[in-house]
Amino acid sequence: MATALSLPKRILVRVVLFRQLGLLLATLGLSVVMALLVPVFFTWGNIRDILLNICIIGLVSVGMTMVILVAEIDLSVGSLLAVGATIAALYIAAGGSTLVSIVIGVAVGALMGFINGMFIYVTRTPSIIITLGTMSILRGLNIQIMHGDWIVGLPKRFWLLGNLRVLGVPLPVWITIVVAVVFIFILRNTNFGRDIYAIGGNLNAAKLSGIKVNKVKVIVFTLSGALVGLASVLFAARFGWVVSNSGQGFEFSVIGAVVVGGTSIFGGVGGIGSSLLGALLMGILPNSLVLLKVPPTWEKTILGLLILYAVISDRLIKNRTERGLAE
Amino acid sequence: MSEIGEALIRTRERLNSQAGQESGLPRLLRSNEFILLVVLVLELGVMALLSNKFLTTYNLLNMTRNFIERGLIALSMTLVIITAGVDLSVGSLTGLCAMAIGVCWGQLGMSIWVACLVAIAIGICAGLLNGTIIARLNIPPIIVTLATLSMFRGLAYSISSAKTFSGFPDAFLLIGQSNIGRTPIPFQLVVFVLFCGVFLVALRYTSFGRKIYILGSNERCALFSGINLRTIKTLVYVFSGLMCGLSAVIMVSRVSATRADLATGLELDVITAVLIGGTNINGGEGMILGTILGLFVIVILTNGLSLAGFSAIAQTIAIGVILILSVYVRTRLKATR
Repeated sequence: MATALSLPKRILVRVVLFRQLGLLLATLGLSVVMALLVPVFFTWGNIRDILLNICIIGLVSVGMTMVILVAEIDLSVGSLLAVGATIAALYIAAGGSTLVSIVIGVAVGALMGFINGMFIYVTRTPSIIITLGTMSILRGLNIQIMHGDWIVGLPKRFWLLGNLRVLGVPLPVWITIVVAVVFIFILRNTNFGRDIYAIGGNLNAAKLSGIKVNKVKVIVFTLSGALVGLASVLFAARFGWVVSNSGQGFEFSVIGAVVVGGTSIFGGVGGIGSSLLGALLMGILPNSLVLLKVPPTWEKTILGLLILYAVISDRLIKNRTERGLAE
Repeated sequence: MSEIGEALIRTRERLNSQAGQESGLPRLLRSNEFILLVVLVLELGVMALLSNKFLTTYNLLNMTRNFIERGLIALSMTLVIITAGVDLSVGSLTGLCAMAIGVCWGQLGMSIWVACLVAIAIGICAGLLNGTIIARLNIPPIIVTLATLSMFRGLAYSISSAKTFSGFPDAFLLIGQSNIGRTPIPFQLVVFVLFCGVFLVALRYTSFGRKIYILGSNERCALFSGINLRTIKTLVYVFSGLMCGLSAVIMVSRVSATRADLATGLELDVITAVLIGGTNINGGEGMILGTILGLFVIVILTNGLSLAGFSAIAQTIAIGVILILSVYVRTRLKATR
């Protein structure tokens, strides 16, 4: 049975493998080149920095991957990150405990994600519009809460949450790894995960096979919101300060990481692992540029080129497969 | 083939109803533009009650000065969204074009007018880049323009080394800061009205406009009707780039300085205006008149609220609420139709 794969299937399998492989090779290639050019790059201190830097994007991209897999999108994550960070920081500044601040952050995020999902479900309006609206509402809310001030001088015990090293690895990295493993398991091995792929792959087929599409979508938005909430607490803890425009443009970095990872914007294809790989590449790149003493003004240009390269190569590969399948 | 036939009929019905050829009174009352007009009048009333400075000729004309840049781009964005696309890179591109003016004039010593032409040319080329990738390679516009959003903004920083330029010649500043004669009509309002006319006619009365609608409502149908998809798709993004170049000229002249972070987040304002104006994010539906009304809804809201002493935050929140509400009401209305 296993050897009797038809030709198109074999090609498909190879392409899927190649897609991840290409990204992995690009990441490794860049790392090797960097290690040869700048010895500092391959020191544990630098690697730790890179990992710490991509934690926030990584956590949020786990949720965003699920959102994009069901063929929706969430533009409000940047604003939500700011709101969550502000609320957590204010709670800490008022003398609250670190553990409770995490719970509060996750709860705020989950609530907002739920509201996003319910808005989309009840009004039957495309998610890009709803989240565009909640993006400005949340940003406004955040500035309102902060009165345009900065929140600084958070206590050391809170700072530790974002910087404490366990076995030499910062705590946020451990949290990201655990979250990623849990969600990869959910996507691969549970009915819920299968439903997510089914909805994105073929909405009508999913409806006809009895999947409660709207319920799954609302849950996905809620989970994604909860992850943003978790990330927001780590964000506040890592830097020790929050400003009113924290996380502005963050949604673009996250969507960029997911797309560079190879998750299809049309839904149904992709996965959390590849999004994390995308986030890793997007973390290594700015770091390399700094080490190579490229002016920081070039960072955005090169990130943009990277996303373009990723989607164009993805499309060209897809074209080749389609031609292969036609023959 | 029946699928295509049906789609053609549906498209024609939609176009007819939009052109008002079947206009009875109830249809008129339920039309998008009419609802927007009602909202606008209500807004004017509320704002006039909130502040006595609001309903003066001077204020009403002067507040348009600040939104012309967004308005110009909203016109071309309407075309883009009708083709079922979206252009997220407009804010960054406007920033890049503005920076190009600064660099060409301040660093390379060109005449300011040549610098403006260079900026507009850069806008067109950037639009061509977006359009070509989207149309030739068939990659979702949201991703392509997300990438170029980052790229154009980065280039704006790179070419200027994050410097700012100011002290432009007086003649140049007239574009954004002068009035027509002794009237309180801002110069750029005339430019805007002119372009509104051009886009209105192009979308409604030319075959190019019709093709845009068909492309947006059913791409396969458009393909089989012999429409050159690639050309049309590329063109709408080129227009988008052109408008970014123009609005960069006006913006630099109005604020009399240019920084690399100019016009950040402008894309969201523009898309919001277009969507409030009734253009369907899934393509195939929308009108320039709606976009213009949508712009006014936003401008009156922000200006009125700020005159009445509300913070910028209240304005941001109000715009978000209006966006969601307007799309929601429209979906409900369509369901009852």
